[in-house]
Amino acid sequence: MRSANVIKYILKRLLMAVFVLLLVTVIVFVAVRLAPGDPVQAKIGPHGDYSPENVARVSAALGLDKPIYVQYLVWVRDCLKGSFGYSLINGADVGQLIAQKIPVSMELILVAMVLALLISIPLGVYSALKKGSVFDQVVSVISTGLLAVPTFCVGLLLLILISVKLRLLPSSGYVPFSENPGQNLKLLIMPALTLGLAEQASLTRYIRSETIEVLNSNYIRTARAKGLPVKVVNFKHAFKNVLVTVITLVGMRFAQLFGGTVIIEQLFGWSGLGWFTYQSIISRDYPAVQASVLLVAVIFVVVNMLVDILYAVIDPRIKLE
Amino acid sequence: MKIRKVKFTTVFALAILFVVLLMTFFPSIFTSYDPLAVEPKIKLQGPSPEHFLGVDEYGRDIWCRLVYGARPSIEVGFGSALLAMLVGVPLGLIAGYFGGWVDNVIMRIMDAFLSFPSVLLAILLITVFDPSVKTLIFTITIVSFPAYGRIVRSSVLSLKERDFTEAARASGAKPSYIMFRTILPNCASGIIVQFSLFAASAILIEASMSFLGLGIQPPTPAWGSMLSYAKAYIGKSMLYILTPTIMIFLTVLSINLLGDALREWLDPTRLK
Repeated sequence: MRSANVIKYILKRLLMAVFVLLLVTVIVFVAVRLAPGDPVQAKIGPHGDYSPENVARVSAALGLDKPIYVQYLVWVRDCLKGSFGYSLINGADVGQLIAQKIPVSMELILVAMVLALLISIPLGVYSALKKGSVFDQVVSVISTGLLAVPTFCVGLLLLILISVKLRLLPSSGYVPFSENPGQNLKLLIMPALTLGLAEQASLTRYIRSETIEVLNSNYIRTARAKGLPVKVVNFKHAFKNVLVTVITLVGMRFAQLFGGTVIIEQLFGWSGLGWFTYQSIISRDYPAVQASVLLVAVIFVVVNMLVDILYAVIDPRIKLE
Repeated sequence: MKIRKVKFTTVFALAILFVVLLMTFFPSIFTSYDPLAVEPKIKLQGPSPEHFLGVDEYGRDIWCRLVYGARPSIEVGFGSALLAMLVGVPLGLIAGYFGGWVDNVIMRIMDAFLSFPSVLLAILLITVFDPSVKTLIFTITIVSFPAYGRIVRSSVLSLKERDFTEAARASGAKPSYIMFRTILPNCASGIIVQFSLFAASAILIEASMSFLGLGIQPPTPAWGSMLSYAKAYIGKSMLYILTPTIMIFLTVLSINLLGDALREWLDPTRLK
């Protein structure tokens, strides 16, 4: 009975995701088309041939002579085929450009996430265990404070401290790991630390309240009543359950972090997907903007859907509407 | 003991916010300088009797620019939180109350907007229009109204099953009456708390946009854009980079603290 329900739920969730993705493509397409700047002009360049014939030829080559809904459908069809168009700036395949940028951002996001977890799990769990203590209050003040500054300010402060005052690390840039591992890691530390610290603040709060909730639940009380040692109850029973929630949270934050990288990669010159997206927006490179924004949104929708489905499959208490 | 402490942070937050609001509406109380007055001879000079926080790269008084920089932050922060509320709350009410396909369509549209990381969507939308306070308000509204709608919808879902709603329905009230007169007042406290959270996050987004050069345009002073210029003089003028950060920090912190205080005050069951 339940398995039939789960399958029905998964199908429904899939359908929802497809519908949302369709709307996402419309938003991206419309926003990019409304943006000022003329792609034909960009293609011909400032000193090119602006005779009516050439303008018509270029705009036909870019597919801009067709009605807007045809342009949309052609774009969606091409995306489904895996062809995301060509950069208006240098004619390169946008799909390939993005494929090169993804690992760069991935490295940053992964390290930032690991840092955030390494900080927030001990802090969150310990402040929950010592609720109301000085430690708990200090942690709460720090995370409240961190949540009140924009991420780039944290980055700027780190830049001042580590790079300008202490002269420990280079201030910005990117070198592939395969070329120079040492330099790659040196350049990675500050942006990863910035993102990690910002991420850590909300994670710590979340883990703390989650742990408190678990510690107050009936099965923990039962475990305690059975006379199990405190450590066993805390780590074997409580911590495991907290971890499940943390994993789902990390999954969802992951996609959001791709957006957070736009500013941080800009600040530290880390040339990943966020940096690329910003550069393409500034230079009005329509196909590149469309593809990279769409990609981030698709990652977001798919991850959210998978998290929902996994939850439904794993946790029998979840109500399937 | 505990009650006193809550009061202290609330008083602190109210005081800060009051000063920032004074800066927004009456900047001339705080400074007699013109935020746009250029004085190249003294550029990047440190603190002096005339300019106690020093001057920026055009010789403009930093304190003066900080004071005038409050305006865009407050306008964008509260403007977009208000607009997001005006759009999101009715949508959430309608979706939650009617359910079925109405709910499905509204929620999926909101999901689509929620599928973009907020800063990325804001950047995408800002390129469509010229950057200005109005554009920022519009953009941040689009980024945040779906979250508003979701929160309202979920409280409507539980409120519409309650006896008082049932009673209103039984007495023959129209759906619009039930939605706006019966259900809405009952989720008002949640909406007010959310308003403060959204205002705080809108100020952070505004600062980020201005920092990227997509927000308030120079020479108009704004905290975020001051930081993007200060970045170039990171080794030379510490106050230039620290002071806008502190202004953003204090403003957002006090709005967050007020939000927390409001939540506790409006919801006595949530005692920790």
